Amino acid sequence: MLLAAKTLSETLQYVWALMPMLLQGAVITLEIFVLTLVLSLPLGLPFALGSNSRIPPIRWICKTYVWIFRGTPLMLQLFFFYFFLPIFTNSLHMNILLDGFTTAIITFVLNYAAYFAEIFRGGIESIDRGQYEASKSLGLSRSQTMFGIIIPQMVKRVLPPVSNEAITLIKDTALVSVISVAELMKAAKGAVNRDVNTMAYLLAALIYLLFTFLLTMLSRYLEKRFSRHEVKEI
Amino acid sequence: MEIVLQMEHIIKYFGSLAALNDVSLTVQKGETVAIIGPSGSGKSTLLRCVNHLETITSGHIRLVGETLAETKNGYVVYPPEKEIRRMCAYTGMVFQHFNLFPHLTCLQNISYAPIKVKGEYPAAARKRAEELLELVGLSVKADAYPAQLSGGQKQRIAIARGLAMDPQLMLFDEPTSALDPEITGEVLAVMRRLAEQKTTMLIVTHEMGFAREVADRVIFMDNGVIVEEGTPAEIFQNPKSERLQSFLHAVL
Repeated sequence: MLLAAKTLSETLQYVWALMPMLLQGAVITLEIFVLTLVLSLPLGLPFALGSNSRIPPIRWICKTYVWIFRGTPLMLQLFFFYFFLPIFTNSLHMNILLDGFTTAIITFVLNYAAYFAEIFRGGIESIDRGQYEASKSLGLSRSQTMFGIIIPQMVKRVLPPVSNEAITLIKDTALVSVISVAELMKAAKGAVNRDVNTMAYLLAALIYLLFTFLLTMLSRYLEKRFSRHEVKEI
Repeated sequence: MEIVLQMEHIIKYFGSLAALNDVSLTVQKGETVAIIGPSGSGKSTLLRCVNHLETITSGHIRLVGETLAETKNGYVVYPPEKEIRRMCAYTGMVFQHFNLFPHLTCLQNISYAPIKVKGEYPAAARKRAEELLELVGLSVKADAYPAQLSGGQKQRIAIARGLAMDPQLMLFDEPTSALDPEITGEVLAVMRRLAEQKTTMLIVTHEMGFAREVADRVIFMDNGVIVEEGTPAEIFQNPKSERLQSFLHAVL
């Protein structure tokens, strides 16, 4: 009841004092989010195409990749790249030392690419066979069919699950605090431990909510934009 | 007469089912050939073998004098994929369910393949597409998306798209079967115009009136074989086989 005893102005002052630290964390959260999304989305596509490849080894590699990265906890993957990879490479007399932020980006990109690969694969498989047949009857090659006909239609269909993943990603960035990257969650935790006051958690929650709200808006806008050609004339 | 399509002793198995059982067929340049018959008689399968949407189990297919498939020592041999693609571009196809590209406008649907496959300049392909839109009577829909069209309009765009590659042979796979009866007429009118212009066409259809009126030759298939073949008059007024007689009795 400590909080209630304080006057409103004291509370606001405390919030004001917390903000620089939290916003610094929020910027790092945002950096992880944007870098992960920008790198993992394009990486997901070759794995999606590879899962349907006519060449068995390519298919196996892609499926194993997806299996491993979807099948193990993201936190475990963070630990692996942060603690075990340096030990392993050391024993091979290679010195690969990654800082927390780089480790986080690599792990998140690999992890999210696996999820996106599965989403893309589902999207590609949902396209009607007739589209392939029409393309073939017109003499389009496999790659022309894929990149000109199938993938543009797939992009529209996967927008809802992709934006869903993006919202999950915003929240997953909090995991990075375990390898001491000073993102929003870690900043909030630091303030809470220091001041014995949970206000920082509340503020962090509001910032996460703001991010997810903006993302939801953006995905709605994109979905509308991409379904323009489906709107019937009135 | 120039032969556009020659199919000899085509056998096609789906598992243990013989969809085509020793079918031979020749189409001459400028001819309109209609294939009629009950569902499951193999007529669509035959059509789909022409442009490699189905591969044959045995037989010989020649398109415009080039061998698409031949049987050597009991095995069917197709040329490499690139060659198949080049040869299949001799044909254009119109599907029962249109299969237009939903993310492209009508004009883009028509000009896409000429630009990508033939390497035509976009401006030239656009001009040709506009001519084709006029031919099918849909110039006003150039910038509309397929979802904004009626079924009949979609099929007319699909016909224009098939024609855009200047095929030697147009294949129609039940082009009016997915349409409401009152709008089949607009699609058939376009096809009639093509027949008048001596476009070579192979048409799988349930429209007996159209086959009788427009086709130079009618083929009746049942159970994977050609039962009877002849001019519309021979097939419709003077059917010889009992199977054709009972089929015509049922549909007319």
